[in-house]
Amino acid sequence: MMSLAAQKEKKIVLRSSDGEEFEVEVATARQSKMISNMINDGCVEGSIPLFNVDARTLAKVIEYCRRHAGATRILDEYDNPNEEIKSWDATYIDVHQTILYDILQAADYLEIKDLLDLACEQVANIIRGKHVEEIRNTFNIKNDFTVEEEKEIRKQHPWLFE
Amino acid sequence: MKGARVFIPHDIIFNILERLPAKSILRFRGVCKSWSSLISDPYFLLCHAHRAKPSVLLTRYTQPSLGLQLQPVRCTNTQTTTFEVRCPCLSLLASCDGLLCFQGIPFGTRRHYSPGYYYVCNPLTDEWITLPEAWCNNGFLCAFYHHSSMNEYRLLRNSPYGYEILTIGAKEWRRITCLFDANPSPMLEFYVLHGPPSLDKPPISVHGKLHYLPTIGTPLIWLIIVFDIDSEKFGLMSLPESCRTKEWTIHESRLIELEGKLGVSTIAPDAMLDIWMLEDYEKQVWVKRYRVQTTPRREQITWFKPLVVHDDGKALVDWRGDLVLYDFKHHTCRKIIIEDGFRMTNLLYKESLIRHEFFETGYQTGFIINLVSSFYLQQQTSR
Repeated sequence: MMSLAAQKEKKIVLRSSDGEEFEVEVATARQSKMISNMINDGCVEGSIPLFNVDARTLAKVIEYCRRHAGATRILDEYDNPNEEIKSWDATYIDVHQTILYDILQAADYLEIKDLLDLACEQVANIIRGKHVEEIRNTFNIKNDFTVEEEKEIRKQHPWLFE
Repeated sequence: MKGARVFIPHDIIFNILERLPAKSILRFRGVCKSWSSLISDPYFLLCHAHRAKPSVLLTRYTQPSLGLQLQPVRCTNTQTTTFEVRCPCLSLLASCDGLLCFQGIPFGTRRHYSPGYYYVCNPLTDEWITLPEAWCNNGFLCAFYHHSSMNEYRLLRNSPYGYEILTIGAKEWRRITCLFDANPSPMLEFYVLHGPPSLDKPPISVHGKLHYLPTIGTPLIWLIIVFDIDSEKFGLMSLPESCRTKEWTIHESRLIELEGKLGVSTIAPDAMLDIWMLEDYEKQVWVKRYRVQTTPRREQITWFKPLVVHDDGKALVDWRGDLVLYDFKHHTCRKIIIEDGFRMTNLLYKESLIRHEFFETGYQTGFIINLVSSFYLQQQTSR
């Protein structure tokens, strides 16, 4: 059994899909439930290959995990998440859409719930005012309604499409 | 617009969509079949409704049609949407989650002597139900609430014949025959029989019970009257010992919902306004949650009426008749500029697209509710 201090010092190596390696602290890596499970099962010898996350996204995700690794327990006097972290999060997630969707998928794959929620909230803020056509474009969705079906939907709440 | 072409798994789409306002959700049914079926899924609609934050309703009668415009104002998002109830002579009485209760004379009837029917509607989906007539016209509505274990919406009403309850969707009102457990105190009997809850200060529903402050009697009584939603019996609860002062009375206090718990605003001897929270309902442990420190003049503190308090300490407050966004943590306040003709109500509204069976089975009228405009509420820093 490893002592707590030893575990703290121990680093874990994550390898992105394009082969770049990142050395991170255990506490940082444990922000990901998937990696945390791997650590618990003792299968983190060598580097952990992450097939679905490229180097650019992984660097960004590690930045988040590092910031939150030391901060998850910090609550203010009213037991709410502290303002500093909140404003840090807001700046962190204010990125170009392509990076945002990469983060979203990485957070889902690595099971980092807080990051996933943060990214979803940001996507929601971006798309809330968009038109149906813009949504299809952004999410690469094919319109599978017939003309009649589309008319029917518009008829139900015409004011939504104005 | 150049889109970021991505494929996003179904459960993430769920996670994103449930954060959107109802208006966007309804529009996005037109994106594709899989979004449409996700959005019609009752579980999704439930999750979406649970995320909704309460807003304060503003109302305005339109001229000359006398329709009613409704505008919810939230703490967080300044963008609001105005709805219009295009039916003359309806008055808005109560709200519960995403449902509104109206009273008025229906179209096509000549029964002008009657105080009119009650209606319940979901303004977002334009679904209506006309409710059955009460036993006695001479009475008034006391509460509109949700029975969570039965998942039913109910109205509580008081008339000279006593209290009666209607489950929305049921065929008739039913009287409460036994108001108390064995041997109620004379004080409880007095308050329940002579001072029914009033929609001026809508009862607060937490822990499966409705709570309201005495509406009559001596103002130095520090009691909360409790109506058990399940057993339909009345009882009493004491306010925290330390909040009782000689200088101020119960009439300056208000009950509110705070982080899903019961809260009460009281005025301390130093004229500060305290918000207490019933931390442990069973053991009756009250804690002081917030203090209002920025009141300029002593007498003005009684005009500070919190309507909604969010978990993050942001609150909508009725202050001297103005709607004010108050931050209990940073003690900042901003006046919310209300559009011309709109009037503040004490009703809270939470967007909901949940489908209710009673709208399908109950008698529906052909009212049209229209979303007339969407605009950005102007806000100004007043201090």
